[in-house]
Amino acid sequence: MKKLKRLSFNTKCKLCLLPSLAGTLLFFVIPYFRVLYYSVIDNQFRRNFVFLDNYIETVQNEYFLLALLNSLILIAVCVPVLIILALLISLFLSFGIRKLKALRASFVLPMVIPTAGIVLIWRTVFTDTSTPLPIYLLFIWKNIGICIVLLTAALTAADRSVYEAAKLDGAGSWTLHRKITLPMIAPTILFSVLLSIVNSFRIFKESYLFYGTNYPPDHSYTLQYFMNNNFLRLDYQSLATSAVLTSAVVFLIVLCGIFIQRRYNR
Amino acid sequence: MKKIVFTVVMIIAAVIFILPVIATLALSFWNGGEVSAEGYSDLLFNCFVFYPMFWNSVIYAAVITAVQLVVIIPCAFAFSQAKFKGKGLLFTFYIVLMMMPLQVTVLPNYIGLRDLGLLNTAWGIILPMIFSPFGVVVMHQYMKSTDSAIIEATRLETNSIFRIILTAVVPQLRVCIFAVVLFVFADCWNMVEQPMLFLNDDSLKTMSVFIVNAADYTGHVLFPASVIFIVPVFLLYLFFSDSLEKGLTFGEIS
Amino acid sequence: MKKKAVLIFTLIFFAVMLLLTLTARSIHNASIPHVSARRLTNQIFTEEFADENGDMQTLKRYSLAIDRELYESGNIYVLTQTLINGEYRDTARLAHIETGAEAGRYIEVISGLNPIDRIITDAKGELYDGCEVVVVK
Repeated sequence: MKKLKRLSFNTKCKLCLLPSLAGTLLFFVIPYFRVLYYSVIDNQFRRNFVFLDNYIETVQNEYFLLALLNSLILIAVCVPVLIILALLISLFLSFGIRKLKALRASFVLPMVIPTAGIVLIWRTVFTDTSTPLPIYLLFIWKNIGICIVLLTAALTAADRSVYEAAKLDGAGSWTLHRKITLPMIAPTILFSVLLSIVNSFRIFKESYLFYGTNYPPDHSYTLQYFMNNNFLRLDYQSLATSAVLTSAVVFLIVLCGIFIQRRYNR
Repeated sequence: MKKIVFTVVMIIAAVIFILPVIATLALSFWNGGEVSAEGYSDLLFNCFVFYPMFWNSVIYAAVITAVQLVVIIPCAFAFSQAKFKGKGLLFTFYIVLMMMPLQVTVLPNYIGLRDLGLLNTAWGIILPMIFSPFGVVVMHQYMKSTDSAIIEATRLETNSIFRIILTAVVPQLRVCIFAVVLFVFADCWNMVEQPMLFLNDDSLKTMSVFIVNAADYTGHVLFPASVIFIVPVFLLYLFFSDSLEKGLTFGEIS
Repeated sequence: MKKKAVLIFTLIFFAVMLLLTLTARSIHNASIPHVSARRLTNQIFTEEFADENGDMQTLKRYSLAIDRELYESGNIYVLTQTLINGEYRDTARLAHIETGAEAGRYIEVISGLNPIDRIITDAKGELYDGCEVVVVK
């Protein structure tokens, strides 16, 4: 105990990191190296080292490519729509009529509704499955809540005095928001974008229940289906390889996000 | 004029978003073409497996949320206060980990749990979720907007790091803690894949699994179960909603 | 004020769920028939028949017997276990019995029942094929 007291503040701070780091190492990092190992051997029993063969096979697999493409399209289409919609709604909720603030609950509720019941309703409303639109709408419906919570909070915290001053100078409400509000809440917007991308990968459960099959129409066959089917077939090599490839894609997306932010700040 | 149009559009949008929720509520009282509470009696008085699953969900979500707070507050505090080489890199790693889709993290989780012999135990659900990086990232973002002068002042008074965290950091982080509690609880409450993949025994599974498999049970249990499923998270949201509005801002990422 | 209301509602919700958890099964059991059940016995039955010479012969058989009173009281239900909502529960199955010889208060059962079957002898409440029951000791 005495020893602990003599430690410097900095060391103690570092010790505070330990529990979180230990858990992360134990459940994410160390097993991830196992996954990496699985991705370069030929099978679980023979364990021959095949280097990049699994990767070449996966990259040449047309279903993997289709799945990757669909996942990226989902992000490219839905995330901007989601963010713009959430931004408009939160702008209105913060700067519009006060009494309407209660409306926020109706946007936030979908976040916590269990999907199984909703999917039944979705199925009766959207009978046409020739486009991925139902899934896109389900995604936006489900994820707008968290973005609105984050964005309205940021807007509420934004400095109103700057805003009032600009208004007195005669700036229109559009210019006002574009020039003042937007930069103030930019970090929150970026955070919402990242979070939405994370959640776009989570839409599998809903999609799976909606189509009720492991092989949905081509336009909705996303990476999660590909991995789930590998999980069902217990094809560890393919699973490990696609997990590594997917994590590489996500890694690139995050780097892009950070890069954009650094540039924007300069 | 413009305001009225906006208001009407807003109300319509709100109604569209809330419609599936209302439909869930309405359908739970709809049985074979007439209004009745039969679905509820089918669920509550004939489907006893529902109860352990309900309490499992409550216990998992509560334990995960509580322990996660204990783990992430010191961790986020350390990220903002400690000085060491590679801190930025480590934090970037947390962001990358947060971004990883479930399908990517589930496999390492599964392998880690298998090696520790924790598959098919409650720990298999609880432990990996405790260390999910989301809370650390959010908390650290918020930590940037806290007043470091208070922390400095407390440092002069006490040497104990836990005292500093409890008296100087936690009160400032109040709103963020509420937000994290809400999101983490909702996330645990909604998880389906982990219980399905990590657990075999029905007695350990959660209510979300019950709802996915609702078709296996007799009677119209799906919508009544969905309504009960919504209640706890909705109450939690109502409880925190005022505080959340008071300000939850984020600094720049990394 | 609002927080207080939410807190009280939360408490009520969990209290009701706890109460239901503890009482749901007994409430359910109160609404279904209570029955008593027992195994059948074996009895000696004699049958007379004419052999190829036209002489009367008697044959003694030791076989499954059902009480005449029980048999004549209506449908015979057998206690079975059925998987309902993820657990095995006692249910009543309607037995289609074929009877043979008679001996005193017993009737021979030729088919439709097994020696290990437990027969419902007494039921409080209406029974039907496949209905769930509570067995009283």
